[in-house]
Amino acid sequence: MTYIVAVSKAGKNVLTITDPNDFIFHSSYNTFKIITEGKLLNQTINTHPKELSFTHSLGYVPNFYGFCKFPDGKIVLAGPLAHDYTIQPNSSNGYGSFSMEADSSKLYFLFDDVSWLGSSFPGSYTVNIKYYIFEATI
Amino acid sequence: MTYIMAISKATKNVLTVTNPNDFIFHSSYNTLKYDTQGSMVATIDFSNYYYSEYSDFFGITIYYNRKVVSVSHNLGYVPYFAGYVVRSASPLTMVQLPLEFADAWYFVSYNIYADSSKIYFVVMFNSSTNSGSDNVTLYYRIFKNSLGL
Repeated sequence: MTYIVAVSKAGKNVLTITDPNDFIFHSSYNTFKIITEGKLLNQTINTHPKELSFTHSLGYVPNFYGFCKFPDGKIVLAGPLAHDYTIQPNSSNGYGSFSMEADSSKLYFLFDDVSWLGSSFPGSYTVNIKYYIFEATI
Repeated sequence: MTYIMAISKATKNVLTVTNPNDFIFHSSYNTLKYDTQGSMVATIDFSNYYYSEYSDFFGITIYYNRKVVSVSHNLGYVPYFAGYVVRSASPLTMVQLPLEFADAWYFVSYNIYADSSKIYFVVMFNSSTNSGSDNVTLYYRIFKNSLGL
């Protein structure tokens, strides 16, 4: 006989339901475990581009997900877009991008800055990063 | 003594395995907890562009639009979140955000960000028209896990 451990959502009969979405937990369905999570706080972005990293040493490329808080307070997902953030003394906007990569030993946090009123890198600013590493390889 | 709760995958000995991937559940590893999910439609009025310019190369006026919509989560902290945009209604096709697409003159971007009270979607694009409207359907998932940022 096969035993299972299951917790249904409120209002659902754990003995009769079969839809995985009706369960809070079901031992037949794997959970997406967070192996590691952490923060890189007060990181200075002072070059153009800038690369930061976290060593995970897993020996394989893991599932990962990350967020970045720019100086204007917005918390964004890693991706291809430039985000506006306020860094200049005159409160004018600058634009920075945040993306992530991974290999079998590290997570990489990549920053770049797009045009700044026709000039090059506008100056340093700080960011806070939150990363998650999930079980299994991609 | 530290107690744990663990459920191993089939054929794995829960008492001896140590690889996190061999467990269905292990109390030493956190998981994402659902908070809310939903969708919203951002209606974009093409006449509400914020900038326009005439392109000598294309011989047309190009209009730039930006639309921001938000959904409240009221968690009091910034949660783990994810967003998607419907790129095709039939067959239903969604793309995870942020997303950016551009060709020789056209671009569209779908961005998502959060603070301690809301999730925000930012839709930006350019167009050769300043009339009419379009609807963009956006989906979100919010988890209870705090980013701690």
